[in-house]
Amino acid sequence: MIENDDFKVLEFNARFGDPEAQPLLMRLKSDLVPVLLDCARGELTTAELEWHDRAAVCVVMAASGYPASYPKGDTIEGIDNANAIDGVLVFHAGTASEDGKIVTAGGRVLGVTGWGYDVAAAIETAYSGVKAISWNGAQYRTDIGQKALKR
Amino acid sequence: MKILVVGGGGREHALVWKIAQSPLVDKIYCAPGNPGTAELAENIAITVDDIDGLCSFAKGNGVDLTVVGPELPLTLGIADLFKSEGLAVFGPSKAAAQLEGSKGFSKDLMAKYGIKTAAYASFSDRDEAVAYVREQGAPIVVKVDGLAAGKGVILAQTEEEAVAAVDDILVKKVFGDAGDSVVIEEFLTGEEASFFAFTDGKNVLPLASAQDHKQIFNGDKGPNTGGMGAYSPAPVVTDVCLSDL
Repeated sequence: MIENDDFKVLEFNARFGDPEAQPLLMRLKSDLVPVLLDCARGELTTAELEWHDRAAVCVVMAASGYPASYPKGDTIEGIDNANAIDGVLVFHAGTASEDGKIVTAGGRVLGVTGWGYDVAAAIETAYSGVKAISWNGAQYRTDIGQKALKR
Repeated sequence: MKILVVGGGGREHALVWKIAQSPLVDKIYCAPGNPGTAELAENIAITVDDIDGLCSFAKGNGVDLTVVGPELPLTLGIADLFKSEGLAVFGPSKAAAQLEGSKGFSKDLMAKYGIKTAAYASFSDRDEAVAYVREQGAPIVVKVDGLAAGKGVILAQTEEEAVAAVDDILVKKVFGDAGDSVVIEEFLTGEEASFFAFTDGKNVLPLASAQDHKQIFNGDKGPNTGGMGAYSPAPVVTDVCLSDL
């Protein structure tokens, strides 16, 4: 938690954050595999990672009712259309395949991630992907990334 | 090289997507995976808590590296098990995963090493927890000690909400065994950010800055979730913060 350039630790994660992994991995230019291998072997020597200059924003689309109980099995439309938009990548979370269709199978259903030359542009790309996707009762926040624009 | 990614969420789809771009990789398995990972990897129907099943799969299929996404298998000791079988695994030991698996452990460790954090106390007794809430006043934060998929944090605006949260966790056992104890802590103001780093246990390699959005509704309103969105880079993480970190 950060206030006036001073911070206090809220909590530790012992793994990649979800959804932070989606925009971070999209921006990572370096090959991830050697870094993971070095960590596993106890010989992490890489001094610095390379990043794409562009920003990335991930908007989570969730089932209605989440984080309390939510329905499953609703047919999701438009994932291919979203992926066809330049700079959009749809990461699956709580989904399942059923009779050739993609249906909801969890609380957090999709992580729609978009590129941009800055956060404002990435927000626009990500939400263009979100708008291409629909299912019965889909919910998402419309203000992801806005805090970055206020600075 | 063959890689096994453990998990089936958005994080694991992103990991599979990134790993698939590496020239070092010939084959990716994902357990249990999802329809997204199925496009780049072979999904294997083993759940993340079946660490013995995952271990025999990795041995039987010549997996060169296993990458663990979720916290649950880590707290069950998947990294210790794989290492004892001579398998390379990306993920901390069971002991190190307690940093996330128990909020009380994590707070005690921060106190021990002088890491700046919110003032806190841990309780397994309902009446003592309630007495502490009354003494501290609201707003105040009530946290389930164990893992709760990001949903075990209650930001109580009133003492009544905090007491209700304590009752839900310690008496009604809404979070099961994860709620055998609670951490009650000072309500911090400011902006939350995430800072990740790779480590092999000795060396540290930081990632770029990011910011998560924990609450379900716009304007950070409503209950906490596993995370409703994130972006990178996050300008709130200034150079001043970074040098302190």
